[in-house]
Amino acid sequence: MVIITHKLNEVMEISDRVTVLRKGKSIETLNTKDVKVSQLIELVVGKKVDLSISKDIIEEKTEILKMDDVTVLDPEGKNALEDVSFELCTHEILGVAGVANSGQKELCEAIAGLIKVNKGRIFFDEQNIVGKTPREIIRLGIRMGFIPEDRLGMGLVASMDIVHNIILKDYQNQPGIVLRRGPCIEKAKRIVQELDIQTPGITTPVKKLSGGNIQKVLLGREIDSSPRVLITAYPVRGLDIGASYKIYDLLNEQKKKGVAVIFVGEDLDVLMDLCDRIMVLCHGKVTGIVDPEKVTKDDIGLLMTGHSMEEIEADKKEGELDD
Amino acid sequence: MTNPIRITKRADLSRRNEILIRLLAVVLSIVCAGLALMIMGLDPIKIFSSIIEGCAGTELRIKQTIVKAIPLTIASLGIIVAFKMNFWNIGAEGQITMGAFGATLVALNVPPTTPTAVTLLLMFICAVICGAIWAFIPAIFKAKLGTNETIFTLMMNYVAIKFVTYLQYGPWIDPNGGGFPRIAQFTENCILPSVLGVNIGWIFAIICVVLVYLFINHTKTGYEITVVGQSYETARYAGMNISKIIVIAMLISGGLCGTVGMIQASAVEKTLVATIANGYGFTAIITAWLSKLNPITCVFICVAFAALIQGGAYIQIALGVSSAVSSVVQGLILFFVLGSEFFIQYKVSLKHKDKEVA
Repeated sequence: MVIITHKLNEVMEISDRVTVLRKGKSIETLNTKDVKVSQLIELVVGKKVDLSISKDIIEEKTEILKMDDVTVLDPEGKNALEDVSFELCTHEILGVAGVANSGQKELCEAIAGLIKVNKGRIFFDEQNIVGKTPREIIRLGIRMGFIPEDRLGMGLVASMDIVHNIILKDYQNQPGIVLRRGPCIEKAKRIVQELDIQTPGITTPVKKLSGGNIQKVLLGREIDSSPRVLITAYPVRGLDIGASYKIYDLLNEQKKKGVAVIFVGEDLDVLMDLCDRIMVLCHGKVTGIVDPEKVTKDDIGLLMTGHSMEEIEADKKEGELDD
Repeated sequence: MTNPIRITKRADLSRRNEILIRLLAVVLSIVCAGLALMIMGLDPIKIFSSIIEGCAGTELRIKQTIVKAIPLTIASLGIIVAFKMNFWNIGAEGQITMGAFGATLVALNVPPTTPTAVTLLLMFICAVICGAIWAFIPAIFKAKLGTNETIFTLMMNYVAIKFVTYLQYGPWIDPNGGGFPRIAQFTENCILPSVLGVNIGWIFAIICVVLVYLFINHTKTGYEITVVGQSYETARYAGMNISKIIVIAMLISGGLCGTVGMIQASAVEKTLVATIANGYGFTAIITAWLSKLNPITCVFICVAFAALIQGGAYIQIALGVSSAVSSVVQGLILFFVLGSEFFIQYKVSLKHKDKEVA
């Protein structure tokens, strides 16, 4: 049986032998029991990778985005988000954890102005942006970057090349009716170089690139617009380990610059390592906003399934008493 | 039982093979058309040479071909703008008809003493507005209610044609026509002038090609239309006003088709008839598609099609064959040329031999 995956722990757990492919070449075939994960990563990426995510806590934080009692209904009229409130500060990465479809998508799209907010307010710098379209938000001079979950379906135009995908963010600020490609060609070249995007050229349609490179184009464009808030929904989904760590580094870099980052993720280890705070969603409700230094993965797991922090604390105390 | 034929999408096709496939399609179409003609008891060589003679044999025939290429080209441009947005405007025929109605509305109501330039300008403006309105109706329904534009634009064709038929038989019937259901001929000041022996529409067509090319490739709205055509979600994400873009694109599309109506009414028919669009609105869908929505390529495709139409009409008169003969020839050529697109996009292979068929 053959399994093709980029999740290395899956390889370690179920395979007997493993073949590493890189850039269309077979690199090596090994017996799984003779190999360590770190060796595999090296073979996959082609060089040694630092597998630690750095986290610098930066004290000078100011509130930039605030969600106040926001409720969003899904097309069937059920609550996709229910009375969600939280604050987001500069110089921090706020993680969002939750079982799939717990309201993560709606949370991101509500902030970006892409879906109707049925109740509540969202303040960006004390300015309520509820009810405003993405265009109006841009017009207000609000600089927001958004990496949607559906990269090719929403964030990028699959059949267009890198230059034309970069224009997407820029063209509205160009004066007149003529589309100016010149500055975007320069920008495309710079982004390709800075993010080390593997592409035959800046005129290659983005759908022909690999997942990691597609994501780098998207992230590169959003970062290049120097956003103050950067919303990322599953930014490393489907990416190999090298590309994933590159993305974490980029997010950390943004945080250091003072950007307020929202990171919607799946991997709890990564959420714990990367984020300053983690907000847990369950069925559209916030079950807790926690400091990853003070809770365990199991606690977050319980929050994800609808338990509250108080219940978890109480259970722990009971457990201690039993001992 | 498994299907022995496997169809896969081609990753990349070399330029040479692409040309080869296209050439093969043309050759095959001529061979097949020849066979079909032989079955009908006709001499294929004679028919083919007559078609060529009919479309390019004399100066007059070349002019006739160009006269037919003008409406086809402008209508194709209109369709290209809509198709770029993945808006399936099947309503060019109706938009042409309404454009002709708009031009006629002016032509029948201006005093014969009005200067030609003024009349023509008024006719032009009115034709553009009428064609654009006919495209605006399905556009606004699509933008606001998400209706299916294909059915909507198609149905609008019949409304336009029946409306003109009504005018022709009713309110606009020529009082001097002896009861014959026709609309009065335009006066001299409503007729488009000719340049180099062909109505001025050809200059207008060339200008439109350049303008549409610039619009699609070098304006912000042209870019927005392409993005909307690729993905509504991305357009929304980028902060585009999708409804507005749909309406603008369709106003341009309908406006271009409206001018076709004006040219046909003013320069070709010199009056309004219900059959003014003459199928150009439908043929333009094929030419727009074959030109891969490129305004420049579209000119060549449209001239080729016009030649086929003109040649087909000629053999009916010159050789006295039925119109079915030219339809068969045109149909077979189309069949192979459109069919070759499939082989350019996809690879067909037999499962066991894994050998390429085309």
